[in-house]
Amino acid sequence: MTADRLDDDQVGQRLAQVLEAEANTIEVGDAWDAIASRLVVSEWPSARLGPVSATRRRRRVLGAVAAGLGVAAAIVLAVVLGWRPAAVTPAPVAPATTSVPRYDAWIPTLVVYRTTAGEYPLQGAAPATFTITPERMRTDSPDVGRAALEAMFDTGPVQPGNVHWLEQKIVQEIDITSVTVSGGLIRVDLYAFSSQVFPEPEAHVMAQAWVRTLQDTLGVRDDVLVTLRGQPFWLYYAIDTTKPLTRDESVRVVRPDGFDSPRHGDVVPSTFVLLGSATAGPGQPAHVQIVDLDTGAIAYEQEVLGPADRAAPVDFEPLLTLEPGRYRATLSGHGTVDGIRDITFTVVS
Amino acid sequence: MDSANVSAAQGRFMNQPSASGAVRDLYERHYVRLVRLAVLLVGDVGRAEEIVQDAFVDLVARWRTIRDPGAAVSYLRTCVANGARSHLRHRAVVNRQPVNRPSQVNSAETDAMVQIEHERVLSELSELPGRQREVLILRYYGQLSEAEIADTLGISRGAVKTHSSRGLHSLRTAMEVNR
Repeated sequence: MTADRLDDDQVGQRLAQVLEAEANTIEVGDAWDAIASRLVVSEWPSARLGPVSATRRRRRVLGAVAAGLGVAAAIVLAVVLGWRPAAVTPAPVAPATTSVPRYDAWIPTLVVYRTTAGEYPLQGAAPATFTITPERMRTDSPDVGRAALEAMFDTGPVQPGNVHWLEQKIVQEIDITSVTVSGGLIRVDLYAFSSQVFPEPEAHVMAQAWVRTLQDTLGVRDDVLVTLRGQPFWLYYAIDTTKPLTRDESVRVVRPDGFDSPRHGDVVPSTFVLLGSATAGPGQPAHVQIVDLDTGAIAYEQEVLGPADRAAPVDFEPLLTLEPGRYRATLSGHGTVDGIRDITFTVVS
Repeated sequence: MDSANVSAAQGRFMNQPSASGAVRDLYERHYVRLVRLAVLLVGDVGRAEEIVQDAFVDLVARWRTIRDPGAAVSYLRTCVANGARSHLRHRAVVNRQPVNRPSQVNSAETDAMVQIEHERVLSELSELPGRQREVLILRYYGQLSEAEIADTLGISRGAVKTHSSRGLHSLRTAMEVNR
């Protein structure tokens, strides 16, 4: 041993060595999954959105205020006019609730694209791994672009294999201010957008679902400019929206043979559109059949014809009027990808 | 900051395939060292992992305000230091227990004298007042500058120098015993 004095630098150097050696003995496991499962990307601190969207929350608040004013007004009227027993009148009959909106010929059918991307964020995979699938549905909203985007997030996919946003660990949320077509662009302005962080391949495919949903629903091929309160942002934290999103034809589209609408178990109005797709080709038509479950009678039947030169998916959308009752619809196509080929639904007047 | 500047700032940070890729890259390069830093500060591997994971989640939440990768790393270190201090304050209130240094697991040190000194230095470090210990760990393992330590701990640079000097003085004795 010596009596040499160590200066601060020497003590610091030795301390650094001791700490480094000590730290290296600490086993640290991979925690990326744990972190990824907690990642919510939002544009402002309180944007962790639950099952009720900001729009709906605002509507609820406004509704509560309106209801409160209504009750207050009723009390004032009762006091001023004096209480009178209410006349006995028949209760109004509420229209039957349907899970498919009543048919309106002026409103086009929505084409909502689902994706296999985004099942688990931040894992990454080759872009060719992911596919998109169109599903058609009806709306009673004349603002079809907005309705289509909202449907993409607020409804689950009917065809199997696609991601159900509402069942994600962290709910994805979108609150749309407007969807307009002007200046050669489809312009989407969002009031809020919340998502997990995704690698670029997944984000690209999910963004393509936006593009195709809007283009196919609105019937235009304009690029899509997405802004958040008027400003560009990072969609899914991977795509810079400074530039409009363009349609990428290389993304694989899968169109299973199956019904899109009604869905199994739906309650539909007497006049509705049967939406779906079936693969048919030369000499190989597909068949759609609807049977009345109460009588066993065939209520509707259609042969779906394909192109003359090859087998290909063909969309069908007959407008039907059926008597109230329970029905079963079946589909026979020649595609290799099965969708929902067998559904039962209820028709109400 | 106007939108153009926001985009430019993001562009600097996003000079990678994607933002999510940048976060993943930060994780790959810094997670283990940050956890070890937190373990040295709080003496508990499980709690240290929670603190660092919280830091990454906070980083993503503030992504738009981060201008470059260096700032992101600095932000993570500050979060870890703050998380550790918060944990230690809470623990001091709850059970008034001294901070235990992390347990030794399969040390690579084979030299007996070095090992003895190693143990003595760590023991002395664990006996230092909390602020001195934090300053020394952030300086000599976290590799933070005096200014960064001052920012992280919310004290002046002069106070950092004072804590550092006093802490080193205490450790010097433990080191010189073996010389």
